Amino acid sequence: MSSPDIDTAERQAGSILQKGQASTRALTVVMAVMVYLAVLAVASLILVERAVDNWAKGLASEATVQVREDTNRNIDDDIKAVLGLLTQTPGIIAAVPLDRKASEDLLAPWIGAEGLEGLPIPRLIRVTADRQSPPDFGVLEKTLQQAVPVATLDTHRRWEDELRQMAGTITTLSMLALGLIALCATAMVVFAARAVLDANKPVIEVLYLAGADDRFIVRQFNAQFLIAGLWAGALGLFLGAGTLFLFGYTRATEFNGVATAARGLFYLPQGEEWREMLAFLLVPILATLLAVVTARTALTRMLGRLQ
Amino acid sequence: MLRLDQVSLRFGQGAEVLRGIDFGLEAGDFVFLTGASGAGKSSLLKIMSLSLEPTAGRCTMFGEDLLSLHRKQRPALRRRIGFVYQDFKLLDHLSVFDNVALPLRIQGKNVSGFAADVMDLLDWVGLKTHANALPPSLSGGEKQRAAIARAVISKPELILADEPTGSVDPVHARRLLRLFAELNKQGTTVFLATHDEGLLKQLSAPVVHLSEGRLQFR
Repeated sequence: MSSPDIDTAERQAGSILQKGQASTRALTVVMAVMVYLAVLAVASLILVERAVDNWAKGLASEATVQVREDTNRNIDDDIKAVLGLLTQTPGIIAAVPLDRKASEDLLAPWIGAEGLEGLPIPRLIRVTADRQSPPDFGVLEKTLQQAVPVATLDTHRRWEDELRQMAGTITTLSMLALGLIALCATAMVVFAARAVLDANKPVIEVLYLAGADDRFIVRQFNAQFLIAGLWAGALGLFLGAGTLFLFGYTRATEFNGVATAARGLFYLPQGEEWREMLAFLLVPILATLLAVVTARTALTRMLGRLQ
Repeated sequence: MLRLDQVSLRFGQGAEVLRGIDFGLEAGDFVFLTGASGAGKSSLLKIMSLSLEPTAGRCTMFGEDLLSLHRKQRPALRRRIGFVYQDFKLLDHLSVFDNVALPLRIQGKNVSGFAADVMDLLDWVGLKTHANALPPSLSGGEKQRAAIARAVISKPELILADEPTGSVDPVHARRLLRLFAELNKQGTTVFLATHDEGLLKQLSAPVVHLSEGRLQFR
């Protein structure tokens, strides 16, 4: 243990507390799990938002125009008028009319294939819009009705609204989960602070007697919580990234939209996606801050009650 | 510098350990405190070092009333006192060097600034070759010398020593007493508790005797 040749110039001011105490090790593990769960919660927010965006774009690029048969009007002229209007509308890529036979086939499962010849069957026109710059369907619907009163536009907006509502619910649940994770992490740090304080009572006594104030003692402990927070943050983020990799690159999920969105998280972010990446990086940073600030507050309070 | 007026101490419902102590120390004093084991020497020193509150009486130190002192004001006062504990109170996970340097680190000084001073002091107390050793590997005498080095390293205004030579051999005991005397010459007030009569003969300093909880001047 002893060394006769001590180079005083090389001496470093190490930690006054014992390193690698069980309570801070346990805190690192629990905090890592919390960070992991938080990363998954943030990922679920991003994945759902991206998947809904993809699905909504798909819905937004498809629309159907229905032209009803009217005994006072010629349906073929109405279809021609609608097609003319659609092809002149910017943002519409294609407008393909279904013939009467195709319309009858669509109705057949509900009313049967027999006896349809004499019925006034509405005719459908499948419209494909440009995904990047779709037309204003609201304006288009009004224009259509003014030009051809028997024509109506179905834009699948109801489905999109339901999708958005579902995404909103998942977002709320994820935020709630994040809040609970932060609460649990705070409680864990307080428990760990108490355990560390109990384990170091003899050291604290000596420090007090040697003239240390609360701030000096808290500073010594804080270094331990900072290290625990950093390790937990890095470990939790790494495990979270691993799980998302499994979602994206293996068949861990049957939901193709989620898998595609998960794969998207591993590409370099572009534009708005930087904010999503920042949210991931913020998780370990916030976890470390939470560990340090909570420990400092808890320790200061507990030390205040010691003497 | 230090004044005790009618200080008494009782633990729980037990008998009084200290009874109506009236005592004072002026700056530059060197005073021995004697008394049999269990006479209350350690308790008296703990009151002086703000580790124990008396049951009755008034204590003032450096012009401050110790009993009305807010806990946030205590550290600054403690930094002006060097205390040698009977049970050493060394931190087992820190090296002898780090234990001795502790008061300086608490004062916010850098290792590079005080490393040479710590090594000089360790040389004086005969522990230079043990600077990197951990306390559990030291003998009782070596621990006591390390504890004394820690108490004096920051050149405190007042040194309170509880049996500082109790575990060391006579040669080192004389050497340590010379260290206290040297510090006293430089202006440090020393209040040294011992039951070693031989130690009292080596230095012509006032002696106060604690018996049955009362202080008598010899």
